[in-house]
Amino acid sequence: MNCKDCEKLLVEALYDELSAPQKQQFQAHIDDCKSCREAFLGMQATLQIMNKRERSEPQSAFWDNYWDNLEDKLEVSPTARPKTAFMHSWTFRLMAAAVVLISGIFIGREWSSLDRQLSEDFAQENLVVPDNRQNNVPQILNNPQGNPSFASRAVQMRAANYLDRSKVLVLGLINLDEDTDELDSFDFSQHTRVSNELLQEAGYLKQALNTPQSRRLQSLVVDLEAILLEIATLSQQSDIPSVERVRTDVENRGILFKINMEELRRQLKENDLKTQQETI
Amino acid sequence: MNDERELIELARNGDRSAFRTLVDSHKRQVYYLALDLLGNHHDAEDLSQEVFIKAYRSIAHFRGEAKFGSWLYRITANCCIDRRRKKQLMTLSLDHQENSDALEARSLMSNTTHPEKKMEAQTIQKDIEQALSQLSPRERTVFVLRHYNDLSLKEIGQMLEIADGTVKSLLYRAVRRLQKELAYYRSDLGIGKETN
Repeated sequence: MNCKDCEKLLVEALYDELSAPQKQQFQAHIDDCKSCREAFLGMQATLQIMNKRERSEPQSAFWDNYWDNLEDKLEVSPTARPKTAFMHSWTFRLMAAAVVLISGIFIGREWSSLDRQLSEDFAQENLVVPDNRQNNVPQILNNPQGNPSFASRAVQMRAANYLDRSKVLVLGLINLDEDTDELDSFDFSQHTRVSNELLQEAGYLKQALNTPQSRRLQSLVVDLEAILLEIATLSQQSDIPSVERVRTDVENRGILFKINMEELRRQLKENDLKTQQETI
Repeated sequence: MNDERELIELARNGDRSAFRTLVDSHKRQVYYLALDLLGNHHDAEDLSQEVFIKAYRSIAHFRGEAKFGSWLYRITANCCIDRRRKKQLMTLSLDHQENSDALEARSLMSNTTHPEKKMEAQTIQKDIEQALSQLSPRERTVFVLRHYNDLSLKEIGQMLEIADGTVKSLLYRAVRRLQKELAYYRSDLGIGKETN
């Protein structure tokens, strides 16, 4: 057994979970190897200190009232119903599939009508909806008449796209689990690439949103830009402290909450627009 | 265990008294695990009740493949990990307050009559809590389950649904970090301090 093998068995040795042959090999190694012996004894000593920890025992009234306190909370917590035989049946599955299909058709029709309505608006202005992901030219330049309504809507669409992509990126990063083995070899190159793209977009949006009506959205773009800068500078592999810093900043700046609020506002605006069109 | 299965079956069908019996059997285990993981009575009390509420809501989905106690342990561990992750974002002053609460609670229950020993015992408790608070949520969970709840590495892996290698790695990191945090005490394992 070499030192590396010994290190792998340290934890099991500390808690006496080694098999008899492993135990024998481990003992033989630490008898001979001073550094492994010291590592083992150091960890063992630490566990002895941890044994000095005392748990506080709550007062008996705590246990006496435990159920009463819990029952009050259970009153508002209905138990989940077990699946019945019906829920396992083909009839149920077919019905569920039909509901999903009908919902899909309904949502699709709603979505396409909204899309068509926007297209018609743009068509009226003899313009084409720009590809926001690839085109970094300010959309107002593509508008021959300099129509402010069109320009504003194009910027809003572009901002929405920026927020959507940033949200996906940030969520993906903050949901990474730093304790899994996989993260030891995690590759952040994709995150940094997307971040750099979004930073370019942020540069445009900050200027385009420089109007009194768009101050809040502009401020969110700036907040997000700071986060994106942190992501863009992540090391290619296993940069856990930086990921933790990004998480903290996202939390402190309330980024996800602000994005969600912005999505809600956008949705409400679209609904208003749709209602107005229908009224006309 | 057969009795427990019957109780679970009754609880699934809405029998509140059967659920109460299950709670009475497991409330101490759940509370102490929450206390080990969170470090203070108030959070442990709150979380242990949250665990039973979750269990009550989802008992229909408990398939009986694991022991009921292990299932509760798993809910507790996951709830604690979530809670500690959120709490890690809070300010240092609040963490300090939490440790002070734990220390005060223990000092109230201390039977030590000699002021010096009492103070020493308090200091050790405070330092141990402080060291534990330095672990990541998952490191602390694995350490607490192994060291204070005597679950084997394999059982911990099954409970948290992580590979045995990950359990070992987390525990190794936890012990090394504790060792670093408590280096002050190492010269004398009679819990005296280094006199350099």
